[in-house]
Formats: sequence, structure tokens, C-alpha cells
Amino acid sequence: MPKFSDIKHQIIQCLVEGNVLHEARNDIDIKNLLEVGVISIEEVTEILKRSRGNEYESSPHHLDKSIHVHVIKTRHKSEQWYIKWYFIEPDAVFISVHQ
Amino acid sequence: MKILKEGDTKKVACNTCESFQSATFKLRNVPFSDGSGLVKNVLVGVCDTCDCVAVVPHQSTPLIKKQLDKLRKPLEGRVPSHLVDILNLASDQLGAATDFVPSLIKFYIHALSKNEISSSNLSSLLKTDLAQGKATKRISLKGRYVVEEAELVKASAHIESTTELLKSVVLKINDDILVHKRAKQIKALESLVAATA
Repeated sequence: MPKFSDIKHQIIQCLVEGNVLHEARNDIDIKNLLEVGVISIEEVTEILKRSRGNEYESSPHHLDKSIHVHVIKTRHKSEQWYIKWYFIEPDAVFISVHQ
Repeated sequence: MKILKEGDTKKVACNTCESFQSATFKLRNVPFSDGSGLVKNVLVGVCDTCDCVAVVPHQSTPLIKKQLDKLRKPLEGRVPSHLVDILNLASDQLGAATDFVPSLIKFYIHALSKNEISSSNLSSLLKTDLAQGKATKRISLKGRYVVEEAELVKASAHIESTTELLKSVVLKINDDILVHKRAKQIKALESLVAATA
């Protein structure tokens, strides 16, 4: 499994630099709250900054085993957040950002 | 933010091809996943193999948000102040605070639109004394479906304006919750209060 601190540093860097894409299935996923602008990049950055290693999981992408899919399940301001993404440098591609 | 241009390419996962593919950024009309509408001329990454939208750059989010906000425009009307008092009293009767009022009205509009509550007497309620009075307070409701559902109720109850619809719904709430204390509606609403508390 990738080292959490490295992944956390990389995702925050992607968010700060705006190298952010959202996965699509031929439509706009209204449940992806970052994609539809319900939550801002700054808020997602804050949530991820506060997340801890025991809230992190990763697994190989089902379409390409060499790419890791990263998941953080954490609480922030009394809300449970589920954030899932993969990296294709220089971007982070968000699969889910939902409560 | 890194800004992408039409014609730029990136390698991304394409769920239609079930593989990583090259995608080219193009302007497309893309629907929302719940079928509530579409965003026109938005920059998206289109799979070069299957022509499906595989990825959306974050620079397109403001346009997506604008369209979503437009779809979720509020349902608004001005009503006599005593109708707002009725809503506050009904919320209190259900064990909720006044911030439950929008959910209470939306519950009724939803149930009326699905014929779970009959809309047959809505227009007659508008002829009662309680429907009269100077409109001094505003009711504003936001939600993904409320505008659409309100149109259905207006059509089935033969009510022309949104304001008249809101007045009739408040009077229906008065009739059900405060006057006749109908157990079925009260039980369903008490569950909603408990779930949203």
C-alpha cells in the first residue's frame, strides 16, 4: 500500500495547483459534490489535510492494476465524507466526493 | 489552476471501453446523472475510442454549478402572515422547531403530486376566510424536485399561481395537522422530524 503521508501530500498539491479532473460515465455525476460545486477545492483540501492514516485505504484500479485508487473516509464538521480518486500525473481524477 | 483548452488530450479511465484511453477535450452538451437536465457547451474529456464523456475538468465546475442552481430555482410566494403562523404551529405540534417549516411544505407538495394526499379540496380551501389577508410574508422553498412537483399539483388542483398553491397547501396543513389531527399524516411527519432532527 502506498505511504499515506506521500499520498496526502500529492493530493493536496494537485488540489492547490488545480490539477483536478472528475471521472464521468457519459454524464455529470450530481453526487460528486466537488464536481457540481457544492463543496469547494479549499474545503476538500481542508478535509484531506485533517484526515489520518487509519482513515485511508488503497487498492489497484480495476482497469489497470498499476494505478492505485485511494479512498479516505473521514468525519469533518460532524459530517462523514467519502473521497475517492486516482492519480495520473500531473492530475488527480476524483471518482467520488460525497457525504 | 491548470487551464485546459479544446483539443488538449489526457489519458484517463473510460468506463465504457473499460480501459485507460486517450481523451480529447471538447465542448459537449452533457446530462446530469439524475436526468434533471443538461449542461450545454461544457468542456469535457471525450474518449477517442468510443466518443463517450470520460472526464470533466474542474474548470467546468462553475458552469455546471450555475446550471444546477438554475434547475433548483426556489419556489416562492408572498402570503398573509397568519399562514406562516399556521406553519410554525404545525411544526410545533409535530415536535419540531420552526426550521422544519420548509420540509413540512415540501412533504405536502411531494405527497400531493404523487396523489398520496388528495388535492381535490385545495381550490375550495382558497375560498375560506383564512385564505384572505394582506400578503406580508414570503415563503421560499429550495429543492431538486419542488418546482416540478408544484407544477403537477397546480395542474391537478386547477390552481393558476404559485402563491395560490402555497396558500392552499398551508391551509391543507392546517386542516390535517391542527384542525382534524389526521393520524396518518402526523405519523409520517413525525418520522420525518425524527429523521432530520
